[in-house]
Amino acid sequence: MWNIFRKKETKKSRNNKATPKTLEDILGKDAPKRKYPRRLEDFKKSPTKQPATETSKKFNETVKRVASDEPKKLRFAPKSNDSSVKKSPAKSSGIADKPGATTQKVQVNTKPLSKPESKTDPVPVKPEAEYTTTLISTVEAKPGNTGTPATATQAGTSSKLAEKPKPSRPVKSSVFKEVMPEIHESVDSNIHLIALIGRFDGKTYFEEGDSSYDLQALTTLTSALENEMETVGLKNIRHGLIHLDDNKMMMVLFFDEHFMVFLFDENPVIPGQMLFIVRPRILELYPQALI
Amino acid sequence: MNVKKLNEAIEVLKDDLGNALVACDIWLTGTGQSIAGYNSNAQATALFERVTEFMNKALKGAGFPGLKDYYMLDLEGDNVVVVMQLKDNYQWGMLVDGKKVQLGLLLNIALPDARRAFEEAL
Repeated sequence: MWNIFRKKETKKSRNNKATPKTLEDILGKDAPKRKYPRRLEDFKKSPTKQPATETSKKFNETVKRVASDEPKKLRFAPKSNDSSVKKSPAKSSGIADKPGATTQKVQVNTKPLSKPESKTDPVPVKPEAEYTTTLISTVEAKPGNTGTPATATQAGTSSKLAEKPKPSRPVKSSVFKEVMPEIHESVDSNIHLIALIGRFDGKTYFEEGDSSYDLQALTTLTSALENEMETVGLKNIRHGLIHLDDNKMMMVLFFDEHFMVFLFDENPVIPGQMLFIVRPRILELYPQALI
Repeated sequence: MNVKKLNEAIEVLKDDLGNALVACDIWLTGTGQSIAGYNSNAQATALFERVTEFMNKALKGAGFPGLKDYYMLDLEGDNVVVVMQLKDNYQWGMLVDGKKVQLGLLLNIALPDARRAFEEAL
């Protein structure tokens, strides 16, 4: 049945298939000589090397340099392991033109993505780089302020480093002390720790409960969290709920200048109680506590 | 890892959260590279891997217990990020529209269901 769709093959068409016409058959003697396919000999004869252009010269130089195991001096190559702050007279660029400006090396928290396999490894991958930055002398760098915005203005670039550090605003701890009994009563769980910590200075402004924790270590976490969030276009963490080992949970409330940490025992109702009873109460009190 | 079942686990989460689920990714800790997801965001996956690492370090540094099942971050614009810590060092990060889902449903139904479905894929 399907044969009806097939084109009928005639005797003529069969002959045509058997002897396909060449270009010479069609055009006669005037037909141009076939150039393609070229033979291997043709390639050998033809000059393949073209005069080197600027780009190719640069490329070849780069290849030679890489091959010769001599890494080009990195722009921000680490000069030494010394992370201490060194001041030197200002160079003439941007802010440095202001009177009293100084340059300063700032330790930037960039961990190496991978360690070089050996000491002879030519290219160090993202070392803990020291960027030479320009500072106005009135700004002091505090070495203890890890994880907080650095105190430098990076020359020629706009970055978070430009933010001037400031101590977090002081608070009246008495405002929080007064409501502690109310807070403890409003939840069906042991609250082991409540602490208010400065986001910029890592200082503990209020603490109740177990004081054995190093709360300053959390400052690094909060600033790191914010930076990471901004990278993916998410902004301003309002609060965090963290499920921990030992049947414990942590709630962190983020304010403009401080963050408040609650550590408590886990139970099915506690996330709700903390988020919907304790949190609104603290949000209400915080503006009152600011001096 | 059974990839088919892993994708089924994502479907379970989608069913539970409906259109509140904006995006999610499952990745192996230490790689930061997604192995399954919905509206996958490779950059977010890599960054949340780092966030988890930061969090673990900071918690340990401060003397707090380590990270267990999940952490949740409530962000501006009603965005909620939840990162679940799964068996065999896997993590499941998700971006949820906080307006469209109740917290109780998210923490007590969606996350346990998703965890069970994931464990079946292992």
